[in-house]
Order: sequence, then structure tokens, then C-alpha cells
Amino acid sequence: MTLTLTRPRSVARQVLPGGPPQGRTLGYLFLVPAGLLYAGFVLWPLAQSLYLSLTDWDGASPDRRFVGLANFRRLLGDDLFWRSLGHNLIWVVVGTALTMGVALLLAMLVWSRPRGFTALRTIYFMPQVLPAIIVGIVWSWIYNPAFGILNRALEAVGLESWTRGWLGDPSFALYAVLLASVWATVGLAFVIFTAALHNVDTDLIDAARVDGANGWQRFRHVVIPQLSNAITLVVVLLLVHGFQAFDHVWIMTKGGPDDATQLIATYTYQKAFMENEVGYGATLSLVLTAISLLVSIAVVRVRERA
Amino acid sequence: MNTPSRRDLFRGGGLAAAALTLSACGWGRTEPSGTGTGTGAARPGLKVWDQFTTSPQNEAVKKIYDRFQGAAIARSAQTGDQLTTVGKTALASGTGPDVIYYQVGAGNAGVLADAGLLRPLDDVAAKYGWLDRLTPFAIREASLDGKLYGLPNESENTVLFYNKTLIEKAGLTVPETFDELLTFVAAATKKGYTPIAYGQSDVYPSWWAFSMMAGNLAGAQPMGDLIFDNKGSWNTPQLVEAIQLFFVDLVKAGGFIKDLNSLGGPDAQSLFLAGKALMNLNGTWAVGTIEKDMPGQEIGIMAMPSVNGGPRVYPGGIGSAYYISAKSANADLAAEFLDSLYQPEAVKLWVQEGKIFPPVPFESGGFTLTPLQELAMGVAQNGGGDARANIGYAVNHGLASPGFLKAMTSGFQAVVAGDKTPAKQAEELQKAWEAGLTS
Repeated sequence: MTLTLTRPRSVARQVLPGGPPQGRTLGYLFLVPAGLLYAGFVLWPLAQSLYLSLTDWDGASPDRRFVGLANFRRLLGDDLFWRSLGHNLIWVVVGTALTMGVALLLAMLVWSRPRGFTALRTIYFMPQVLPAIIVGIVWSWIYNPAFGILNRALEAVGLESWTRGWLGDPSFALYAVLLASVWATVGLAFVIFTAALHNVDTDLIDAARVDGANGWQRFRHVVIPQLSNAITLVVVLLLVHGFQAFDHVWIMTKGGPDDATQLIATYTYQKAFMENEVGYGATLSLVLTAISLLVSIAVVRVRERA
Repeated sequence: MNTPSRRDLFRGGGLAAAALTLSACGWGRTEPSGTGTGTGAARPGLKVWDQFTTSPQNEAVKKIYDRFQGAAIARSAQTGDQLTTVGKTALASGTGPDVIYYQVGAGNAGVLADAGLLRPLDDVAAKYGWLDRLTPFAIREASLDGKLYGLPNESENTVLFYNKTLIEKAGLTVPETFDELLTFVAAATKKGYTPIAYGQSDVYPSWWAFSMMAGNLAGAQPMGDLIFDNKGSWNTPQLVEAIQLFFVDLVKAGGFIKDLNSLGGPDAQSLFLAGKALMNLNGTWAVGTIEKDMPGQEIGIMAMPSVNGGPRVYPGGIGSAYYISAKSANADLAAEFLDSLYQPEAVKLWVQEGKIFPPVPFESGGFTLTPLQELAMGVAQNGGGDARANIGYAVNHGLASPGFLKAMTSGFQAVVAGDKTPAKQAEELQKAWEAGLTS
């Protein structure tokens, strides 16, 4: 008896590069709805922004005068733009470091699933689900110089000299708003780290312990490398969030006092919608998008190489 | 229990999708948003967007709009900030409101008028005789480039409210001069009170304060000439002194809460309402709230105390005005609606229930007014003396551009923080003013 081995038809289909033509067409058809949405809600507005950035449109007039690159030239000499960008960098660096640190610390503390883990996880994540308006209002109350709990608490423990108008002092306002934002953001990073820690190979930790590694060494050289993907994800999310930060600042200070909390996003809104300079506002928003994109790509590349 | 089949689920889904589609098309909705007041489906519809979101104005406005029988009013009440953001695109789209209640001034309604989004109302004013009824300063406020564009409303003044009951209890007297005010605030602080409830973390309170001081120092009419006709400048010695006195000297004397840059206008008012502050820098638009929340307290109204024997000026102005969209298909109806707003019965509702004074003459004999309303009305009529000398202008009106407004807000915050001198601030105001005129 002779046995002839033939490849099943289904297998033959799978190995054909790119699949059969009709399969590819069907695949592209499945992409159409998402593609249309993306084109309509991302690419088209982006193209419109680019167009508006080349005009001096005030947001109301039917005339959109073409001004070429004048808005971009103006931006280079705009002190408030550079000041806002500086604030954004502080926001991104300090905010990312603080959020990462706190979230990782909290995730490590509950890694062993202590009693009340579910309640703690809910409490830590709770600020993340609160609307930005609630976060802004609550923290404005906390910082309120007349009846805010922070100053009252400082007075109660004998630290009267530390009390101040947190949101009204140009030296502290940015950090005060940033703290509120970190509080609101840390929950998401915490959940991601908690999930990532769940997949950490504890045998490696035990092996390191047997080899004499202390707690810090086990954390630094065994746990952290296994969290690298989660760390990359959280860093990118925080960077993008940091460059796009708007809501908490707008609710709490509107960029004041004396532009001490002005970020590029708030400056963009102010120019486009309050000062009727939509063309210049579009320019600012494009620059913000470019910076955010470049930084995110750079971070991912660096992490991948590491 | 029957389990629904897959076909049943598809049918249900189809029905839900159809319902959603229909609702998205507007089926089943009687008004676009806000608080609808109109009745009578047979009447044509008129979309009106206004800013009367708070009590008691909101309730009064509902009654005033309901009086109009010419159309079913689809009303949407939004905050000023919201209208500033969405008003432009709504009007430009042609599907926005027929009538919009918008802030006056070159930086606000002026932008809409320049874009051809507002209908000039000179012919309407002539037809209904508005020019004979409206007060001249109100016409000036609602006009742009010599044309009347809006029906002005809310004749209001910036004032200092004072709690006479508390001041007497503290053994103090109401200051008449700026020197007395400096003594007053020091004494009030010693007695544990916040002398003046004022905070400038919001964008607008410093405009009110500067309007008061500028009026006292530079005079009512010169300020009007500067604000509306660009006659003069913002960096004069008088205006530098106005900035110095309020934003430096009064701050140093302890006139306000220590961290006034971090206190918003409503929070400052709360200090006054709670009896923790003796005075409140505010406007006559707050009369209703103060009456409601401070029963049993005797409240007075005064202008900023006199400086070196000069006049005491109540900056006055028009909060906003009703404008008709240039794209409204119901312009005649909209004009008829506007005219109905100042008919005698409507005026009574504005004053008595809305606590708002429309800028038209009216006999208040038949009205029921509270003592504080009487005071506010007296201020609106003649500023407690000679209307020409004692009723001034708001620095954020007239030709003030958005850039100038921002220069005031952030600049006065910087002066209070000690980061900018009054002279520098005056200089920057002049620069922002000039930039606004040429843009």
C-alpha cells in the first residue's frame, strides 16, 4: 500500500503569502469603517489645523487670510510660548517621575495581596474615574486660602509659616496643580503595575535571594526588568498626558496667576477661543502635537534598545 | 421563561438603532437645550440663547419670555464663557440662535459684528423708538463703529457693599476717604475680620477694582473718552497711582485676605455672605444674592472712597446685550421679541423679580423694592450725586480687546505678587491697548 501525503487545502491557504486575493479584499473591507473614522476624526481635523495655522482666522470671520509661515515665525519669538513649554517640561518630568514612583510603590505594597487588597485597589484607582471637573473643584477647595483644609492642617500642626495661597503664589501654583493631577492619574499607573507584577516570575526572586541579593537588588535587577513593558506603557501614557495637560489647570487656575501655570494646551485654548486668534491657536496645537509625538517615539525607541 | 432568539435580538437592535437615529435627527425634542419656556406649537419658533443661569434672574426671564406671544421661544441658558466659546461657530453655521445675549465691547460682540454674524439694528431701533427710550450710555455700549447692534440690558455698577450691622458691632465707621479706608482695614484686621472680600484668581474681579480706582483718580468722563474713543492713554500718572493705591498700598495695609491671587470672586463673596468680611467689592448684579443670603443684616452700597478730595465714581456699564443673528430667518420676529422685553410689564419683572435694571426710564412707584434695591437703583440713576461725574465706565468695555483684558488680569496678579511695578503694568496696558486697536 502506498501512502501519498497531500497537504490539506486549508493549510495550503494559510501558507500562501498574503492570503488569496479575495481574502485580502475582505480584510481591507473590514478596515474601511475604522479607516473612515480615523480619517474623519483624526486626519481631516489635523489637515484643517495645518491649513488654519497658515491663516490669521479669528474664528468668526468668513475671510481666512493666508499668511504663510507667519504664525510659526511669531511663535519662535513668543515669550509666553517658551514659558508655557518650560512649564510643560516641568509637568512632564516631575509629573511622570512622581506618578511612576507613587504608583509603583503602592503596587509593590499590595503585591502580596494583603487583607483588604480589593478595597485598597478601589481606593487607589478611585481618583482616576473622577471627572476632571470634580478633581479640580475638590483640590481648589483643599488649597483655598480662606477655608481650605491644607492651610488649616498646617496651622493645626504648628506650621503656620508654611501656609500660603497655593494656587495664587506664582512660585507654587504650578506644583500645586500638578500634585492634584498626579493624584488623579496615579490610579491608572497603579493598576497597570499591579497587573504586571502578577506576571513577575517569583522563582527568579527566590533564586536571587539564595544568591545573596538584598531587597533593593532584587527589586532593581529582578523585578524592574520584568516590568519593562509596563513601565514603557506607563511612561508613554504619562508623557502624552503631560504634554496635553489642560483640564485640571483650566479648572483650578486658568493658567494664572500671571501665567505661572500656563501650559501649551491652555495657552492654545486662550489664544484660539478667548482672544479670537484661531490661526495662531492652530499653530500652537500643531507644535504641541509634534512635540508629544516625537517625545513618545523617542521614549519607545530608547526603551526598546534598553 | 422564553429566551429571546437571535432574530429577536436583531429586531430589538434594529428598533433601538432606528430610535437613536430619529432622536439624533431631532424627533421628539421640543427644544435644543436649556430650559424651554415656550408654549403653543402652532406659533413659529425662535431660538434664544442667554446667560441667565442663576436665581433669581433665571425665573424672572422665564416669565418675561413667556409674555411674548409672537413665537414659541426655545431658550438655552448658558454661562458667558460657554457662549464666548460656542457662540461664534453657532452663529456662523446658520443653525444657531436667532437671538443671542452676548457681552458687549470690541473684544466680544465686536468680533461677531466684524465677521458679519450680527444684524445691525438701527432700522429696528427707529421702528420701535428704542433710541428715545434707551439711556445714551447704554446705546454707546451696544454700538460698534457708529451702528447699533444690540439691545442693551443690565444697567449695572461696580460697588463696595458694606455690612453696616457688623461694622457698627465692631465699633468702626464707614470710611469716606482713601486714608480713612487704610485706617479702617488695619482696625478691622485687628478685630479679626477680613476688611474687604476681594480675590482676583478669576479673570474679571481686577477689572472691577481697576475701574473703580481709575474712575476716582482720572475722572468719569476722561475714562469714558479713553475706553470708547481712544482719547488719552493708560500710562498716565493718575492711572499709575490708581494701580499703586489699590494693588499695592491697600494690599500692604491688609485690606484683603493675604492670598488674594488665589481667591476667586465667588469665594470672596462667600466670605462677605458668611459675615467674615466687612465689605465686598462686587456689582449691583449681586443684590439679589446678598438679600437672599444675608437676612437681618443691614447692607449698604458705596463707591471707592475719595482720593485727595476727588470724586467718588461708580463704574457703570451694560452687562450684555441682545443681538440678532445675521443669518436668522426670523429677523422680524426676533426684533418684535426684543421690543417686548422692555414693555412696562416686562420691565417690572426685570426689576422686581430679576433684580436687574434695564437701561430704560421707568416709574418704580408701583414696584415692590427692597431697601438694597432702592440703593442700587439710586446708584444706577445718578451715582448718588451728579450722574456725569459720579457714574463712570468699566475698563473692560468699549474698545478693550481680548489681549488688553488678559494684560489686566495677569498684570494685576503680578503687581500683587510683587513681580511688577504699577508703572510697568500701566505701560504694558498701553501696549496691549494699542495692539488691540491695530489687530
